[in-house]
Order: sequence, then C-alpha cells, then structure tokens
Amino acid sequence: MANILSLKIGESARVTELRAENHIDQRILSLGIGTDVIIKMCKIAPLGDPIAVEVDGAQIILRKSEAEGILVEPA
Amino acid sequence: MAPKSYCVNPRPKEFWSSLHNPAAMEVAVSPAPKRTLRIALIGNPNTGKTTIFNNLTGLRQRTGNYPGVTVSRKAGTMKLGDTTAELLDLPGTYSLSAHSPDERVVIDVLNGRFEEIGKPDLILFVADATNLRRNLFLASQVATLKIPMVLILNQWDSVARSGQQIDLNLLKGRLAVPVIPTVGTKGKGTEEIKKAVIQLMEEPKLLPEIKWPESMKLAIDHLKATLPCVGEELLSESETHRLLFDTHSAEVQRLKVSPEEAEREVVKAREFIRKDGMNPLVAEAMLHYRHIDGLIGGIVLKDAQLAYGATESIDRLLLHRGWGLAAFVAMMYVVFQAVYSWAGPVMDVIEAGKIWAQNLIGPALEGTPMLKSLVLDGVIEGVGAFLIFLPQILILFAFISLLEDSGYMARAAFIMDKLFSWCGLNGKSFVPLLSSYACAIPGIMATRTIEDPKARLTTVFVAPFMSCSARLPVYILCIGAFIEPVYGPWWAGFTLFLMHFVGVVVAVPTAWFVTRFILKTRSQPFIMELPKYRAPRMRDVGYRMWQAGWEFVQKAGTIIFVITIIIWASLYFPRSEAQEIEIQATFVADKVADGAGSEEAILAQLENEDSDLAREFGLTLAGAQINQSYMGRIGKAVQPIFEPAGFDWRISISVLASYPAREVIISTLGIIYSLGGDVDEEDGHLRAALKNSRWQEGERAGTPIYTVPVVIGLMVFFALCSQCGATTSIIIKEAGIKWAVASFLYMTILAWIGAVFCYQVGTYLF
Ligand SMILES: Nc1nc2c(ncn2[C@@H]2O[C@H](COP(=O)(O)OP(=O)(O)OP(=O)(O)O)[C@@H](O)[C@H]2O)c(=O)[nH]1
Ligand SMILES: [Mg+2]
Repeated sequence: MANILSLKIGESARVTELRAENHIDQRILSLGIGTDVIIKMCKIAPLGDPIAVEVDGAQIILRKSEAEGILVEPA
Repeated sequence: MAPKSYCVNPRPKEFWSSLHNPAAMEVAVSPAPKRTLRIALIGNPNTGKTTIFNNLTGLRQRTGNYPGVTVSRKAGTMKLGDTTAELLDLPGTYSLSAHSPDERVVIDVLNGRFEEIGKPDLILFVADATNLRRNLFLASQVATLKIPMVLILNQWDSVARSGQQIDLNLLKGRLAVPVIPTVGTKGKGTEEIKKAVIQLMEEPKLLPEIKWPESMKLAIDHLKATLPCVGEELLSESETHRLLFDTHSAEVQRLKVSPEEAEREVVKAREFIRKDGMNPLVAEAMLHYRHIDGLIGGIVLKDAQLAYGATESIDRLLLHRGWGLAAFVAMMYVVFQAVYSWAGPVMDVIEAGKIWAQNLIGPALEGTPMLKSLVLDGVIEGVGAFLIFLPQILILFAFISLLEDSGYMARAAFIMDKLFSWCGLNGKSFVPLLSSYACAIPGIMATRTIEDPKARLTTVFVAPFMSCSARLPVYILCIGAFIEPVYGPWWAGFTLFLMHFVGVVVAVPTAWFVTRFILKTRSQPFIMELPKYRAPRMRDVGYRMWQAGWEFVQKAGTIIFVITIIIWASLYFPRSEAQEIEIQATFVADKVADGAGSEEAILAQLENEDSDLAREFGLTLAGAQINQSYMGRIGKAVQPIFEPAGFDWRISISVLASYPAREVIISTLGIIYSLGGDVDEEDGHLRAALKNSRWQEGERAGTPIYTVPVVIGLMVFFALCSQCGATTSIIIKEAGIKWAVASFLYMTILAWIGAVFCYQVGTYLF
C-alpha cells in the first residue's frame, strides 16, 4: 500500500493506516492525522526533508521517516 | 514546592499522610476563607492563549507566531466585576499525554500537582476557530476532568477571511458550555469572556463528555480497582486514561505498586480493548475524534478555501528548492548589515551626549581629582561606552520580533531541520537556538518544547555558542575600529555576518559529538505545526524593542555600573605622592639623558601646564600609574596566558573582567584608556584610542597592539567563550551542575584555542 510520500505536491489522499512506532502514532493522531482523514501533500523542504502536509486546514511538518508510516489510498 | 517542570512530581508522602492526620483534617474542615477563583488557559500551541491572557490581565507576556512561545506557567490577576480571579497562562499542548517538559506543566496544573496553585476551578479553553476539529480533541480529553469550561473560538477574523463559515448557534446548542468568538489581537470578545466566567461561577457547565464503549469501561474499571494510588485515594478518571492509553506514562510514579506490577495490570486492561477489535494505543484518539465529529457535524457550513491562500504564495518563494535557501541566507545577511550600518547616527548622538556630560561635570569636580576621575573616567566613561550600543540592540530585536511574529521562524526550522538532524538535533532545536541569538537565557528555557531529554540537553549545551546580543558591542567596536577603515563598509557588514556563524560552526560538530558519543541519542522525530503567515503587529514589535532596550539600559545602571566602579578603583589604586615624585624624577632624568636641556629647564617647563613637555609628562604619569595599579599588576601576571593570542595586558585584564557578563569588556577598555590618558579629549572615541595603542616594551615596542589577526582573535574569543553568569546559572537550573561546569570549561578552552589559532595563522599569512 502507498504511503503519503508517494503523493505529489498538491495531491490529496485518504489515510488508511498509521504504522509508525506507538508513541509517534499517538503524537500524529493528536495533530489530527488519523484513519479516514483527507491529507494533502503540501511542501518539501529545500534540502529534501522534512515535508509539510495539510489536514483539516492546518499544515504539519513531518520528517520523511515518520511520514512513511502514514498509509493512504486515493480519496 | 514546585515540581521540576520536566519530570512528573508525585505529591510528597506528607501530603497524602496529612489526609489521615487529625490535626491536618481539622484545618481542612474549619470554614475555609473564600479563596480567589483559579482559572487556567488551556489550548493547542499558537492559538492565542497568551494574547488573551494579556487582554484579560493587562499584562504583557510574550506572544509570537510559532508553536511553543510560552514554555512555563505565568500567573496574573483579572478583574471580574467587583471580585478578582487568578488567571494562569500555560504552554500549549495537543493532547494530555505529555511528551515534553512544557506539556508536562499543563498536565501537572490540571491535576493540581503544584501545591501552591491547586486544581483550577475553571478552564478557558482557547481554540483556533479555523481548525475546530483538531482543537476540540484536547478539549474532549480535558472534559474528562469535569472542570467547568468556557470555549473561546479565537482568530475569528481568520474564519471569515479564509472563506469559512461556522454555525455558531448550532455549536452553542450542542456544547452546553459558553462559546465565545474572539479576536485576541484586536481585543474583541474580552468582555464577553468575563461575563461568561461570572455566569459559569453561578451555574457550572461542562463540555459533553465522551461516552466510552463497554470494553473501554471494563478496562478503565480494571485499572481503578487494581492500581491504588499512593495513600488511599483512587486514581482519577483522567489519570487512569493516561495509564491505559500512553506508552511509558509518567503516572506510574504516583502508584503504590511497582512499575512492573502496574505494567502487568495495564496489559491486562488493554486486553479488554484488544478483544473488542481496537488497537489500545490509538483507540483513545479514534474515539475522541468520533465524539467530536458527533458534536461538530454540520457546524462548519463552508470549508476554508483559502486557509493557506496567501501563505502558500509566499512559501512558494521562501521555501522554494533553490530560492528558499538563498532567501534564508539573504535575510540573515540583511539583518546583520542593518544592525551594523543603521545604528551609526544614533550612536554619534549618544557619544556626543557622553562627552557633553563629561565636559559639564568635569569643571565642578576640579578640586577633588580622585572623585573627578571616578565620575569621568570611571562611571561616565564605563557606562557610556556600554550605552552607545543601545541602537544596535533595538535594531536586532526589531528584526527578531518581525521574524517571529510573521511566522518565518517556523519556516527557518523547516529549512534547517535536515542540517540539524545530521548532528542528532532536529528542527525543534532550531527555535531555541535562534532565540539564543537574542539571548541564551530564553533560548535555553525554550528547549522545554523538545520531547527527548537527551536532545534537549544537547541543545542546552550548544545554545550558548549562538552569538547573543551581548556580543554585538564587542564585534561592532572591533569591526568599526579595524575592519571598516581598512576594508570598507561592505566588508564590515560581512564580517559581522560571519561572526554570527562562528558559534554555529563550532556548535554543529559539538552537538554531533555529544549526541554520538556522550548521550548516545537516537535520532528524534520532528513533528511541528507550520503556522500561517501573519502581518506582525507594530505594537508587539515596538514593545519587544522597548523591553530589550530597557533591559539593556537597566543593565547599564546595575551590573555595569557596579563593575565599572570596581574596575576603576583597581586601576586607580594604589596611588601616592611618593610614587608620582619618583615617576617625575625618572621622566626628568630620561629627558636630560636625551639632551632635551638641563634639569632646571625641564622642571621649569613642567610647571607650565600648557607646554608640550607637561602634556607628555601627563601621559607618561598616567601610563606609569595604571601600570602599577592593582589591576595593572594582575594584568601583567595573567598576560602570559594570552600571549599566544597576541593580547597585551590590557586586553587580558578586560577579558578576565568580562567573565560575569561579556559586555563588561567595553566598559573596562573604556576606563583603561581613559585613565591611561589615551582617549583623545576632543574626539573621545574609544575606537581611536584602540587604534593608537602600541606595545610599550619588548621586541614589538612601538608597533600597534591591535593588528587584524589580534582583533579577529579577540572577536572569536568572545564568540566562543562562556562569559555570562546568568547563562551558567540557567544551565544549572535546566540541566544540572555537571553540564554547567562542562559547558564553562569547554567554551573557555575552545575560545582560547580559537583566539590563538586566529592570531598565529593570521600573523603567519599577513
Ligand atoms: N489573526 C489573528 N491572530 C491572532 C489572534 N490572536 C492571536 N493572534 C496571533 O497569533 C499568534 C500566537 O499568539 P500567542 O498568544 O502567542 O499564542 P499562544 O497560544 O500563547 O502560543 P504558545 O504560547 O506558543 O502556545 C501571535 O502572532 C498573535 O499575534 C486573532 O484573534 N487573530
Ligand atoms: Mg503563549
């Protein structure tokens, strides 16, 4: 299954599963990224990492290593 | 006793046993005096809690457009009709499972762990109205504490601006608690908040609480039954949730049973949830979100179309692959160029004021040479030399404030994270480090937002390397005297820019070494909200400048003033008539030997105060006296340590005197040269005195002391050295004495090596 890193900038998708370590999952969840939420890929930092995604109108910075654990399917 | 903010602090045993102590019981039962209402501001980071706190209390706590400005609790009083209430501003948090020390503060306050403040009676929940769902997640968690709540929908202006529409009446109906739209920056809604609080005091209302499914209830009841808290009190509902849902919950420390036993019971309890087909570690969040979706379903009539509209366009440039980095460097360059070049005219005015004061007061003190010297050479010279740098401080803080309030600071963290991750730090370390460019003390405090204790310690350790504003005067003095006249203003600004990177160049490998070999930190996640750009409020910028400027001036009146007097005294004494006669005898003998005339003729010339010879003698006398003063002797004794860096005794002594606070060097040099008669009365510039300063003896006699390699070495020394008593004490407080000692020694040794390196290599090359 694809993770959010497979999205192009500006593309949105639906989150299907969180698969990072537990405490990171908790953190990501408290920021509003949970299953069935629509997530949009917004920015990649000039040096290639981290990225910023948009959920519910707020942008959140994540490192690629954390973003890998967020699985998505086409919305 | 306040708990250490970064670890959970269980109530001390005495507290719990006091519940069973008859004497203590009596106190509890006797009619308690009606105490003031305690109100806490809770909410996600960067929603405007502090802005509203300031509106309600009239205080001026710092605000800024990035998550994590407030890192500790701050109390204030607010008027409520004819009574008052105590209002508590708190750091922001996204959930009640605390990850970092600043979030821990929120949990401790909500659970009444700080004895001096106790549990809040009422919560002002500040939500960002443009992002209700996420904000209400925390509100839903907080609701399990059963404390009456007012829901504040701040940033109401942004709702309309982004094209969003919220059905306020529907929301009010569903939530039961007062719901108040506000615009913190404009003060809109402040009175409504107060009214709601008064109403709520009469008739407490709670936010509708989450309804747990059966399996969850079983799990919670299991924990409540099997895990007694210290003392006989049962775990509270909210504390039980933390134990059940969080990995490594700090609540374990409050239990009577061992952590292992607790863990066993927690695993058993989670089994109930697992059997119900849910992952116990994410189930809580899922259920809270489901609860919230039920509450706010249909509330948002129109989604935000332009939430990040303008922000996106700006970011397309500022976070662009190529342009983004260039813009970052250019912006920093402009800041330092401006700090260097815009201050000139104001500096001249302050300088003129200093000379004016000296000329005004001088004649009045003619009869008492010692007092005259104390006031003119000591106080006015020492304090004045320091105050001249006020304009630079103001300009620097204007820029820092603009960068923070506009939202660029968070972008800088986004850009730099990659570089930081390489040495074990992350973008969250960036904000504390950047704050340290203003001053390391708030910078080190800001490390409280960092979750991992090891990453936090590393950041504390490298923060003092960032070039704080107290170093600015040294750089400006050196650059103004020795770089600009030779290489021109362009290089002057550029040198200042470069000096601000010296610390980083050292800090990055240092952090790498510490994380790799000493703390062995695992690489850290970096998860942070990216705020929208906002036009900074000029009032906030002005206030920040005023505050920094006022602090600077206060410093001149306190620490600088006191040290100035001490330094003046140790440079003035001992002094006696016999000593003066001896110096005169040597002077005259030297002149006779040079064939300048007979002894009588020379003595006669010395009588005439306006003669060239008398003036020359005046200088010789001052020089000899300062050489023989206490400070002069100490300087000569320590000078060999700094000899490899090309420092003479005067620089050496100034460097030593600057250990309590690095700005002292300016005052010390000012006094040394003023007492030594080197400061030209007409021009009064310390700069000119430094330029004219020459070696008096040894093989270098007659050559200038301040060559370019010496000056660069001196600046590098100040860039790297740990010369700030206040920073050392904040490191002791935040990281412990071991780290403070390590930091002091490491920085001092590095500074010496840096200065020696610059001097030796520089002299070899030039
Ligand atoms: N547009 C708009 N901006 C606001 C409003 N209220 C506050 N701000 C801005 O939002 C930013 C954050 O405000 P703070 O008061 O520092 O927020 P905080 O919740 O205390 O933030 P932390 O201490 O970091 O948790 C500042 O730049 C404020 O000027 C508002 O109603 N509308
Ligand atoms: Mg705040």
